[in-house]
Amino acid sequence: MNKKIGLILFISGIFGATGSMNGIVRDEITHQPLAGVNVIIRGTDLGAATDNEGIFRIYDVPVGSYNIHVSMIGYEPISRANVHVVPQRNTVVNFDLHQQVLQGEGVEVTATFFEKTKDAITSSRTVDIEEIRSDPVGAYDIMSMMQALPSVISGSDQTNEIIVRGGAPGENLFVMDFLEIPYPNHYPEQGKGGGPITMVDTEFIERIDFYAGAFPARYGEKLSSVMDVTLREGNKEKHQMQSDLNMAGFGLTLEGPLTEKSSYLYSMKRSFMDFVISSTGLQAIPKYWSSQGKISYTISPTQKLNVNFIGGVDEINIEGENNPQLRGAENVDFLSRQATLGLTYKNLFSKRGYFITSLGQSWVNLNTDVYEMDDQLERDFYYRQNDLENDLSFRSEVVYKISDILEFNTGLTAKYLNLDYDNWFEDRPIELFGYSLSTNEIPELISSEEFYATYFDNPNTIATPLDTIGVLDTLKNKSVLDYQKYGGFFHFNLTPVSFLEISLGGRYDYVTFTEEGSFSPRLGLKWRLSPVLNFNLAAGRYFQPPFNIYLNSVRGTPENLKNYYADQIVGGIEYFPEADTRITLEYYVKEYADMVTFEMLEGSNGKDSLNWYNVINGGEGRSKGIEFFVQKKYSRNWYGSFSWSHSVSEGVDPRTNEYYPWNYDYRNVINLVGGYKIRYTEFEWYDNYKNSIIAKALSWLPFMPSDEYEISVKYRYMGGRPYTPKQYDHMTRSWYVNAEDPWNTERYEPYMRFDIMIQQRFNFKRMNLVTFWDIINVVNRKNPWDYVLLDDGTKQMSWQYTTMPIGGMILEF
Amino acid sequence: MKKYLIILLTLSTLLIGQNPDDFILSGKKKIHSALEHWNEQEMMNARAHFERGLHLNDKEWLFRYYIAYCNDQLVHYYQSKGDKKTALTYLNDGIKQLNEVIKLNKDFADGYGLLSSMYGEKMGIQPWTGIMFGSRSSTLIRKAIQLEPNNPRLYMIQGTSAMFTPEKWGGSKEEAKELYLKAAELFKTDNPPPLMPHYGKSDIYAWLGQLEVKLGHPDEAKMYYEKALEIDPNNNWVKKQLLPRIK
Repeated sequence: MNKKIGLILFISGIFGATGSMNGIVRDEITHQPLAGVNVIIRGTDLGAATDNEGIFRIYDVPVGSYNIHVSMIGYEPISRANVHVVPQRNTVVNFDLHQQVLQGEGVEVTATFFEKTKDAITSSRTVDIEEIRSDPVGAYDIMSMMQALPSVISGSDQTNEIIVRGGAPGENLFVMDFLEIPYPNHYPEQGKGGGPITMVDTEFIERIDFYAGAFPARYGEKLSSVMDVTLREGNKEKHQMQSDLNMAGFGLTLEGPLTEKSSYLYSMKRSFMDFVISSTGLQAIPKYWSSQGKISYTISPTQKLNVNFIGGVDEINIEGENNPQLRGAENVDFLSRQATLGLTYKNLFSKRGYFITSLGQSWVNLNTDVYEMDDQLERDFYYRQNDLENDLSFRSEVVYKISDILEFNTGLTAKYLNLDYDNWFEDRPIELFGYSLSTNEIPELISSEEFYATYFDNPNTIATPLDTIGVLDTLKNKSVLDYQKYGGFFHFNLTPVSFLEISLGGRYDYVTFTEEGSFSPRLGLKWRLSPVLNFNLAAGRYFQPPFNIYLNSVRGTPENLKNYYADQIVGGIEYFPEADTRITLEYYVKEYADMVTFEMLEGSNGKDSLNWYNVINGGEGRSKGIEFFVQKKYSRNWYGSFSWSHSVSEGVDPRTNEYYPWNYDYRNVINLVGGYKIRYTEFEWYDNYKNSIIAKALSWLPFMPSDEYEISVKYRYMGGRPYTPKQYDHMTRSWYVNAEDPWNTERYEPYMRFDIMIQQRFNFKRMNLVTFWDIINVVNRKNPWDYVLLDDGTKQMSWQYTTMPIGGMILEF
Repeated sequence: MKKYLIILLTLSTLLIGQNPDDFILSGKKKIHSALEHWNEQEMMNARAHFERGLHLNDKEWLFRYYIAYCNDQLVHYYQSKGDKKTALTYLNDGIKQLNEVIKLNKDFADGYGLLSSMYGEKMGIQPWTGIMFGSRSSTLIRKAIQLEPNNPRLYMIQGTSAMFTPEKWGGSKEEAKELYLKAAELFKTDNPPPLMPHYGKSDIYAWLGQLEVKLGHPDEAKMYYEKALEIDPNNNWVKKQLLPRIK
């Protein structure tokens, strides 16, 4: 410790650069500001106690990264690791303290680095901005970061969308500052909210509470996971600007005071892959804009109003069929615009509780045109989509602490949805092909045996359409649906004895269009076997209404669809061997019923077994698994996490009533993440070096020293993903699944990827520069994505990311 | 004692950015200001100050002692507001700190004394704990006096214990007065090193005044309160709480 303090004094003596730190400390349950909380910057004698408004301010903090310790009598102390103080800037760090359960003489509660997730019993994680910043590759994308958890996987490298414990991508709820954001991603998946790139600007994030299952009753309508994001407020004292630039795009963030009682935070980002690589021959280049803003207004010490906006415009133009990298894509023009604007009002109406309410309006407009080029090189459109969804959402909640052992939480939700889908589809005629080996030969219809013996994979093969079967079938679907969703919930947290916490809740959700209501009971138990060891158990029935695309479908009778559900039970232990280390072992079972699927074609022995014209509640499935997770926070120069999960996700094949593996049934998944930080400022030679010509000329190189130099690694293994082999019909030159073939019988090769990230931080007198270098898939492992099935009967593998360096920088001033 | 002061000085020089004496003295100033203003926030700031010191060196018994002392003042504050629950929280923490203090420095009489006093206060709030802590409190104060027989704060604590303990359990107002007067006498020559506790010079007359109130002698009480204010005109405990009660 002596050495550490000496060095800190040394650092501040040499550079003299300082920043400041402030924040608010609240009671975790009642959100009341806590006075007299001691906030200490570890390793220094700097610190402050909070005032009557729960606010602390610490000035003249030498530039660097610190662990912050927060304690108050009667509350469990907590620590936060790796908080950065940068020159001329103020770092805001807010804390929520949990009232101490174990009180009395002789009880020593160690400050943990793991902050409690709101009302969570199992399967949860809370992360702050510093953790997001340090995460290798996941840096600046929160969805990607969550993939280090054992419960979370993604479909592929190309999408950050998460799949949690066998659930579908559309089963994840995204909440931001108490506003539900139905479309938080670029290139949103219609009616489901998923999408490959997160729109949320990570620089806005203060903390994320993530629930991978068995979450409390306040969250409804989704049944797999919840990501509840709390945004920070803009700087209330001075205007600041930050710009960042990396391979994915560039952005500008502005913040500062508006009036004495209000502040703003605004950012604008644009991808620029199109500028950089349009000349490389890639034919599908995404182009997107995003914009996010927040205005915070403090009405009085007990009342606050926030206005939030988030929106994006996404374009992609895919040109050229049959390119393996494009998965056999057609010519597609895609344009989407999505946004949410919302108001959140909060009132600390009592010392024991608070009221919060929000009103949000979301829009999404999706335009897709699919076409072929005809002989005159004109576009021949055969699919056009212009879909619009509007979602007006009201949410209100009261939290009240009835006594030291009992908390109560209740709330209401109401949503008004307007779906306006306009689709036009001209079915392509099915052509029958004849084959020849030269233009002099007359093409003939041939048998399968002859095709494979003579024509398959033969460069001289000529396929000529000889006849057309079927007729052009043009479908025009103009489908408008207005409907509402209402919900209400209650939740009790009871701590009858110091070693036991019981969480009991329920919610009721009603969909007007289907006249379908469902009650979801939820129960959780936390048994504190010792101050560092808990046994946790949570269970419940989780309902989700059918996706909008099914409700507003012209296929079948969607008004008869029921809400589908999953019964979940999660049990496990949670152990804290050190203040900065947490180990969890959990077992879960999720049983799905009434899933929305397509009806089976009766007696089908053709090329398809599904009746695509009728949606029904016909699906059943299950997901179960065991998950092991060790996480060490960034408290002593390094951090790391290791997770392993073994799971089985499978559905019932209605043709046989037997289980088959679902598409994301990876079975074994391993994640290893770690990072180490070197503070070169702690070395005496560094000051001379920093001012030398060598440093000025070469510091941009990734291996050169910087004020703070961080190297992180990430390794991921996933078992082979299942797929259903398709058959080729040479007569129509198309691929199909045989109606009687079992599903997902084959698996791709396992997925493995190793990434390295280097981050350098340079602190200057008036600004800071952060540069980072990511090397994705360092060993260039070929991970299969999907087969591209070509119309000549051959297939090629489309690979996920190969080795790819990504660089970027952030400028703070 | 000198040995510990030297160790304190050495460790703190290494560990704390500012001069260690200044660190403790500035903390003591914060306590003094908080008491003068009888201000909860200031008292918490003072407590936070010493807690920061403790994070740099958790073996430093004097930091723990002053944390406990701040706790004791906060106990008085919350009791005066009728908030027994919070008072008890600070009491428990103070007792925990002081038990560490006497483990780290077995010769620190003021540590034993304050611990004895805090056990007494705990018994005042939770009388049923008397069975557990009554004899421990007596043992501690005896041990303290054995270590420093001329420390006036110890007699003040012992006197307060005698005043509040019911007669059937060995309390005596006469004995309390005797002890308070002895303490008052010793305070006249009390001159501890600057870093050490030095409270009580004015408070002893506040206690004497309270005792006289209990004995039914308001004039004597008033005289003692005035004497207290003569020594420390900013003693708000006397000025704003005790004296107005008998006027």
